[in-house]
Amino acid sequence: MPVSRRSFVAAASFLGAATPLIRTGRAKATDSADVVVIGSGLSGLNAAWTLTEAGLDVVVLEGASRIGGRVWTARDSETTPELGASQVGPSYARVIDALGRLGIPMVEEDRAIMPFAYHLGGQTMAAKDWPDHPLNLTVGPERKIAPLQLGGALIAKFNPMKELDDWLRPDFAKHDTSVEQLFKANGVSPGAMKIAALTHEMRNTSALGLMQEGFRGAFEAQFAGARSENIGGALVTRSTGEKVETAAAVEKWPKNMKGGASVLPEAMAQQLKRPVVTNKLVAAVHMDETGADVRCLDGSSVRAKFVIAAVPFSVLRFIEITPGLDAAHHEAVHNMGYAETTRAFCTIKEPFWQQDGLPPSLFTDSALRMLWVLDNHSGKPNAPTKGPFKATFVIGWSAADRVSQMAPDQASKFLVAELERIRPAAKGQMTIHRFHSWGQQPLQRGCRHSFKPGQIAGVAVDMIKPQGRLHFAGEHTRRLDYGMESAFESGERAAVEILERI
Amino acid sequence: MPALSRRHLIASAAAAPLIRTGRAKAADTVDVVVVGAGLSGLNAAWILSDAGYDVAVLEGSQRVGGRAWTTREAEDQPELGASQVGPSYARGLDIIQRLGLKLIAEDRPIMPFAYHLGGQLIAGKDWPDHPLNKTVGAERKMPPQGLGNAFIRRHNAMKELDDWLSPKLAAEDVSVADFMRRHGASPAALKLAAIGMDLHESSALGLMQEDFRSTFEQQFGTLRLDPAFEIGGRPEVWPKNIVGGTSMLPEAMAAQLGRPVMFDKLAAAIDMDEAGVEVRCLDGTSVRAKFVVAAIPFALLRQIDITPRPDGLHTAAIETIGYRDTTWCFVKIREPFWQADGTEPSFFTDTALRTMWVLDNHSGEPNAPTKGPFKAMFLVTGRSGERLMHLPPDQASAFLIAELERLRPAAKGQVAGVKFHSWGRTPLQKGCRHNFKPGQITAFAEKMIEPWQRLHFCGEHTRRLEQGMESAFESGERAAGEILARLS
Repeated sequence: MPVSRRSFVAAASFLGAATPLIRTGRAKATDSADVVVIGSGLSGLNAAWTLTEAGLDVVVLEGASRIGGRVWTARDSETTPELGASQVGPSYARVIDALGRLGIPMVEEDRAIMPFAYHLGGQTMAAKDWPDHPLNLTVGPERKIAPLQLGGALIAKFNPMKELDDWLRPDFAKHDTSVEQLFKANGVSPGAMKIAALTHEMRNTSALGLMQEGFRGAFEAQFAGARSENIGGALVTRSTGEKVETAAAVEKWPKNMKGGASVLPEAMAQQLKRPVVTNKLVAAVHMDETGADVRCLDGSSVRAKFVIAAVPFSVLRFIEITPGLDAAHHEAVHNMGYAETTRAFCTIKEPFWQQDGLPPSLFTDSALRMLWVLDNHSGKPNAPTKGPFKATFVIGWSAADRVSQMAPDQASKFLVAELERIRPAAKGQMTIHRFHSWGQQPLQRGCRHSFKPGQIAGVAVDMIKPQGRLHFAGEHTRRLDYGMESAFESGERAAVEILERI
Repeated sequence: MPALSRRHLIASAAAAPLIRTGRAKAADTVDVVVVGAGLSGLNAAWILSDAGYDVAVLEGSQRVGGRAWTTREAEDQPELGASQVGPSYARGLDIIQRLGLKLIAEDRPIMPFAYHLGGQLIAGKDWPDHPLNKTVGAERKMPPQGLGNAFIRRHNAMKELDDWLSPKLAAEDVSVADFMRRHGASPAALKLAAIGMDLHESSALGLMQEDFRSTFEQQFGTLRLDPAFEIGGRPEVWPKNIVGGTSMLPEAMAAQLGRPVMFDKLAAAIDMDEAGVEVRCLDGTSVRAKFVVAAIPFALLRQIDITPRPDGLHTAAIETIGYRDTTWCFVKIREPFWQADGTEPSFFTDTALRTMWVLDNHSGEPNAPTKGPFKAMFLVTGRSGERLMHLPPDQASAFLIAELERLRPAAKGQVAGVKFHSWGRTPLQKGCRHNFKPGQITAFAEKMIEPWQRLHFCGEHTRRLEQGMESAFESGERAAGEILARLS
């Protein structure tokens, strides 16, 4: 029976309001289904949708009280910031197709980051002063690369990939070293290494993993160019006949979803026959010859023929799996690295950069790390919006880990105080509306997987293969794609694996 | 500098603002910076201070003690961390005596265990012959909650306290699962052992060190009869606790230092050069010193930028050493529900609840010293504890109590939560204890405690011969000794 989105949303909000968060003490008879999907992020939902359309009975168990995983539009915050994924690229074939089928319109992203000032080694400078600055200890062509871009630019320079799946080839194992090893082998100067370490975790991240990301990004950029040249808006007209894009001739990418990215997982969930079961924390997956039992922390369980783990390995490692995983899966599930991003979303009362004469955004070696100030177009004629300037503190890696040692309120105060220390003109101008650390989210434990050196060569090929009746989806199991598209790619693969077995 | 009274110290801590940013001070300069005010850091600081050096202790939180923490705000003031002093804790006993603290015999007898396994409540006495007991031979009589440790004890290859570091025992540095299989454990025994510990991520050799040291402790206990610790002419009872709570100990140690401990100082970076070391804090301040002691778990040290980068072996230890979590939920019991359901009070289960310890209140004994309400604690270890971390503390407490009521309906309405604490979720701990993964002892345990340039290491994870609080003192003493040798 199809459920309308309105009735689904109403039922979900009713459940949210009326059902106690923990439903223990009422051990239910075991539920059953063809497939249990653990996790209602984009990958789990895409797998569940695909399987449902094939006529299978699918139960999606979600540990949180909301769906979407790392897609999360913070509707309760004043500026409704996107805490996670929000960009749709021109080559996101599956995502664009899904948006068309679901009738979700896209809008051009309006998030232009204004130019950067630098505060390094205790000194503040404009980006244009960097190439000849005495604190610039980089060498040769490195000198002209802005500090914020240096790490990424060097990795791109040494990237040997020619095809999207090269990174999985055995002969690429030699590139599966740390970023530091890659840079040392290619004669990067110590000064450049130190700058790169502000944006990259140098010792515990596989350079090859970053190359996959970088190569996919470069591919995306080419794709966009070809598209806007030739066809413009017409190409995104899907087979359903619904026009997703209504903009004029020249396409601008990336795009966002109208109403916020959370609209997408919500609409996908609405396509399922059974509503997503929220607040269901999975404790164990027990497999035998005839099926699998998924036991939840509240004592209830669901029996199915197959199970899809559509949660990050940083979370799957807390679920008991019997029979135990083989060596490659064990290494991947228990030891795969995860990256962290902490963000604090703010508005700015008065444009303080007009006082101190520096570019608005900031990149620094202090624990603040980055402030992105977004253009509100107030300086341009016919500007679409002229509200207050918005800005985001963006803190990654070890800097984020350090800031996350504080409670969110404390950390917010710290970030503002640190900005005011570095740029006194900002005094009293910043208001933080939302502080969000992905690493601190118990059901995420990181903003993204991040292979450690040697892990791609060691386990990346084997770790996505099913273990018994357990299949794996999620961005960390991607092969060719990135961003939201990689979640769709992996959910589709897991669904197809199961369809072939049923 | 005049000695500071403890009252002084606490008063100055209370007056300090939570975050002191925006006032970047000129770098302070001392002889030694100690990062972390747990027992190991305080012992190192005290020894160096006594030797006449200027020592600054930086503490990220607003209290001293690290994993020694008496929760004074909660009813009955439960001990969240270390509390036991053993008879062979030579350094600990000496320090307690010097500081004028008092010891009392621990009164925490855990009442007998029932089991709830495979959906059935089983009386402890019925377990050896119960049809759900699928273990084999000698395993059948082992209590299920202690199966893993029973295998370690039975097959412990250690002969001396430092054997675990010897290459001779490298063959034991395997997972507990492999170790148990090697010694003929049945599949049922492996399954039961996996309830309370992570069999794949724990080195059997690491557990052997713990086991061997505590066996040694038990032998030692019968020998020690120091009249200073005699209680009312009765035979000695060990372990002991500190009168007033374990937190008294780090607080009294901190009061001995020349400089008060600096609170809310989160270290962000350690930069070393030929002349000294600079410890930079998250609030933009910094302290310059000749040497620095990292007296924090490696789970935290891995968040601090160290320049120059430690060598491969130190990096491997700092970045990858395992940590385990213990989640506690302290409760009180209105009526002894076990009298209603007729099984033992404490119990162990394969559900997410794991373990409940009910403590004897001696109400059944003549001339009982206390007869207040029964106290108990849920002790959730292994991955089950990690899963509970998905829930906010209030929900997790409610979940544990609801789960108890589901498993033992007689407990309905009889149990009230007092305090919930997860060490893994405590940001400045990130675990209740280090836990070597298989192969890690062989790979780096011996060398990882050596100084890296001007950076020295202490903390329980760098212990050699000791256990518990004594291992913190042992390691702090070692680090202080290393630095004294370089300063003189």
